[in-house]
Amino acid sequence: MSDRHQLAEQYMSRFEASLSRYDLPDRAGIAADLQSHIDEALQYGRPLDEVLRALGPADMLARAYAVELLINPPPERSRNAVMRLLGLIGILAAGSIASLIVVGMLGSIGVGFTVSGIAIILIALLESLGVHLPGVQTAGIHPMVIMLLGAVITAVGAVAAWGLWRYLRFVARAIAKALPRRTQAAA
Amino acid sequence: MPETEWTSQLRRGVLELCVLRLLRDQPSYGYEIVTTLSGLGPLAAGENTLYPLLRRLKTDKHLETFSVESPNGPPRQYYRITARGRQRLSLLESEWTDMAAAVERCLKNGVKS
Repeated sequence: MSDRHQLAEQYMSRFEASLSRYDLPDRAGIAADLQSHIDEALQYGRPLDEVLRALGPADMLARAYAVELLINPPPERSRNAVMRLLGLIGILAAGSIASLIVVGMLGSIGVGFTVSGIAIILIALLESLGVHLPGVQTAGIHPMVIMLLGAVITAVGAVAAWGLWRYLRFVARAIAKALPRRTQAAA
Repeated sequence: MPETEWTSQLRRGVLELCVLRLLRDQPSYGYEIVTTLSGLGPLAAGENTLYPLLRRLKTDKHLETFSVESPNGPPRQYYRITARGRQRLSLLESEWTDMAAAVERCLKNGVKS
């Protein structure tokens, strides 16, 4: 092997080793581009050391590729955008009936039980203070038992409201994930 | 006159436009593109700038490559503009025309409209 070929191979080895530090697509293709350039320059009669000097240090050249390709990633393909839109429609179609049931059920329990529970606790408090509201029948149950019952109903309502909140957050995230992302061109 | 960093940054911005324009009418190979640009004064880009750009344009599908047998050595890799690349070129040409006109007006009149 001539010194010239050895020098070129050493440069290519250093370049490929530096390139492997970056998560770039088709690194073999990039190396082939560079090899092609070196071959073309030699065919034009340029001295090898001049060709390599013009390319700069191998690690800096690899970094230049990384900067160019990672700072300017390819724009999102329209096919992906279509798939995302179809995914969004699918989520909305499949989730709409389930959402109607879950939101309706958890919403009514969450609001109804919480309000009712608090009202029962207030009534029990008034009963314990000897205040009898008109139209309120306690059937002789002790105010402390009524208050306990009110607390249980409030807790059930709070759990349902918490579940509703978690479900709505899950749906919002799923929709946000399915929405087409802003492309670089649009940014 | 030595080149300033400003010229270097400016060239970096317009190089994509110039490369697409160079390839609009006929395919070319990397070394030929380098030597053509080197004859255009401030647009003379080093290989360490041009090849990463060519790779990005290829990744973005603005360019595609094909090999042609060379009488003197290994096959040459030619770059050819794609339909997507032509659209990109039209866009960049339009933006450059607007930018150049705006700069020209600015240089002529200062901040007055």
